[in-house]
Amino acid sequence: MNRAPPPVAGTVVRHPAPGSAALLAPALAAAVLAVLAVLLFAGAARAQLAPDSTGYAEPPPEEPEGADYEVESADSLAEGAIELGMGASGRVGARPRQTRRVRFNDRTLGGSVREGEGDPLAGGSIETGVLAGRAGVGRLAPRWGRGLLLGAAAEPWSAGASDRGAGALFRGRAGRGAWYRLGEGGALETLYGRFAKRDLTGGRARAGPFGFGALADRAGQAQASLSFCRGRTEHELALDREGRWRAEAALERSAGALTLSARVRGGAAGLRSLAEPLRSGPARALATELRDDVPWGRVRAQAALWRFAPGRGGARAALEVRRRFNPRESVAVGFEERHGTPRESGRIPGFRQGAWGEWRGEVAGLALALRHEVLGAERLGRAAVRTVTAAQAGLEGPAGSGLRITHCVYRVRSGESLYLIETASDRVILRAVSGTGRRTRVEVRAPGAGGHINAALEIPGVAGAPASEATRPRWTLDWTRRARSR
Amino acid sequence: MRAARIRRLAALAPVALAAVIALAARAAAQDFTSATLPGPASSANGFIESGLPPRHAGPAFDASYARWFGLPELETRAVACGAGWRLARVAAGFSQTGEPDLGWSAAGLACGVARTDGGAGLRAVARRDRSIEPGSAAAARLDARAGAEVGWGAWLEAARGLRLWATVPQSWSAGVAPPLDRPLEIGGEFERDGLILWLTRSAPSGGAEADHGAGVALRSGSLAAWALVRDRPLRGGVGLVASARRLFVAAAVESHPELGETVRLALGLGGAAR
Repeated sequence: MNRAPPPVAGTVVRHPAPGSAALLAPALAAAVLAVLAVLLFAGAARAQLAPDSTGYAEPPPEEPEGADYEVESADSLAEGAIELGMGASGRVGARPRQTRRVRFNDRTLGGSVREGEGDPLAGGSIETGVLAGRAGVGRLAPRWGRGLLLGAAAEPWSAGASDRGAGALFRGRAGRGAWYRLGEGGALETLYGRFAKRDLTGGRARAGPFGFGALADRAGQAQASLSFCRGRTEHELALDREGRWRAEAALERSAGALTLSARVRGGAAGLRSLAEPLRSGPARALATELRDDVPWGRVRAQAALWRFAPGRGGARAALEVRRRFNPRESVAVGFEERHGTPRESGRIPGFRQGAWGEWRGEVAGLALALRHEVLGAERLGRAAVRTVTAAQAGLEGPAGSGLRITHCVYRVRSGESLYLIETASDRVILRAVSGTGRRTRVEVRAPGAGGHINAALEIPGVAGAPASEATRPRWTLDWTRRARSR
Repeated sequence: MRAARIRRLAALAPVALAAVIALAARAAAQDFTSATLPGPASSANGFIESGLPPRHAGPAFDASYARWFGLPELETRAVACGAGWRLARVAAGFSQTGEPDLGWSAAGLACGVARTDGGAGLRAVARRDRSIEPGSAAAARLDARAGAEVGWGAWLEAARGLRLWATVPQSWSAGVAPPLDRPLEIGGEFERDGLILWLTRSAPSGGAEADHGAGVALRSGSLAAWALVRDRPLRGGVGLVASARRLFVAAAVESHPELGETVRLALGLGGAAR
């Protein structure tokens, strides 16, 4: 028995007689085009069956290229809840890495502690209500205004940082120290911490839409920020003691389902954030994004132009169209062209053009996703520097159990980096790979010991390839339990 | 009205032709090759070969024969049986390839779950050389005379008549390398009114580029005929599947410009011939 997709709301559906040629022809064309789209564009470098966003996954600029990058997921914890977690990971034949974590959230006290040898996310943070405000110590990832001094976006074309500030998708780490906030939404904020091997003291005050902040280090270097934020309009002016300045204005306007946002930045190339110098971003930038949340899906177009310094800049244009056939099935195709470099230092990749296509479908208890990405050094993705094809199947079992298998085949030209996204229970890992290879990741989720157990086995390599450190399977075992503290 | 329909169908011909030309994969089948169409398995051999479970439950038995590239010393003979109960599917089989002094034997097992609109399965195949010379490395070490591979496959009915699948026959392997490197293959087929069109894409293997296949099948009653083209190098093949009650017979011939013809035959009981 074939399954007929339900009609999309707002469309008129005609029901031709079964077997009529009128039904056959357009259906045939649609099928051929859909299969062509999946087969031709299934799989570039996002390997990548990740949350939908345009472009290819890359670590932030302060991280070295070609190395694994881990970032903490920012899932929230309900008030009065406590979460315990224990994990172990490693390669077959090697000593495992153990991790432990505790998170808790009470009305007045909240925090988290992670420990584990070699765990890049090890550390802790705690916050509590004090002196009519809130204070905390530990990990710092604040965002002031547009992020010119604190909390800049990782990529020149992004409007906001995904790992900085309250409400970010990920809990990034700009520094470590202590902070105190007073008033509604943090009207007065002070912080002291170590950022980029430098001790910094800072404070910020907000009055209505205006905000004023200043940062200073022990050597007497200081920077100030004046910002304005009302609704979806946000501006910031930052300057240092030498009189160097940068300014950024960001606007967003909506008309129905259509949203247009634009951002312009200008100023001196010499002004670098004291707190996050490697994330200072370009001195000049112009970026715009158009997003249309149409009833059948979503269209996103982005264009950006930037310059760090004379001879070092770049441009990017991207388009992604996601077509939802029903809540359980969608097709997405995307295109991206880049010039220059998105990083302030290092090699300049130059011209890159690529495309990706992705199909996701689901029936009761079973999900399948196919993706293909290609990024080339010539037009139409020719002279491919990164090619990735990925397939993922998921099975839902009883009591919240599940099995997910992801397989990807990649080819990365020498000198290029590719990052495969791995989602663990408490973190997201961008796994750097290079050369030609394939990888299977098997993830099992099951209830156990009063919580949930997540296990993953990652099998790299090529059939018949000689065994080596790189081809040894990698494994992860994690147990998480959430409970009410009262 | 009818003329307009014919014109519309005719307009699709260049698209189909372009698809065939642009997407024309290596003969990725191996020990449990089947002469039936690609995609969700219609035979127990097919299930073991691809990891794609059949949509229909019920007992099935089939035997297949393949002569690779016209070489009488390179023949594969396989038998497999399958069964299903509710959502569960399982198949097991045995295969022999080549002559006693050079060939190998393989045992395969596949299990999975399937509904009418989707399924996923795991496959495992273990191989062993048929002839072990006394005193050789193969006689001394198991991993020098035997090998194993584990893979998976999943398919889903994306829309009425449109099925998409992904199969990874060799996610993990150990011991003696498999005779053929079989990377990820994704494919799709569209079926309407007895007409079946399919496209496949195999990911690059080793230093080679990705390769593609396209095919068309026509089904009328208990008879189905199909043709396919593949690229790298460009080549093609034809096949025929006939069924009567629960019995089916399938034959396929695929020509290779340099290596010659590959002939495959299958005889089965139960399952669903396609």
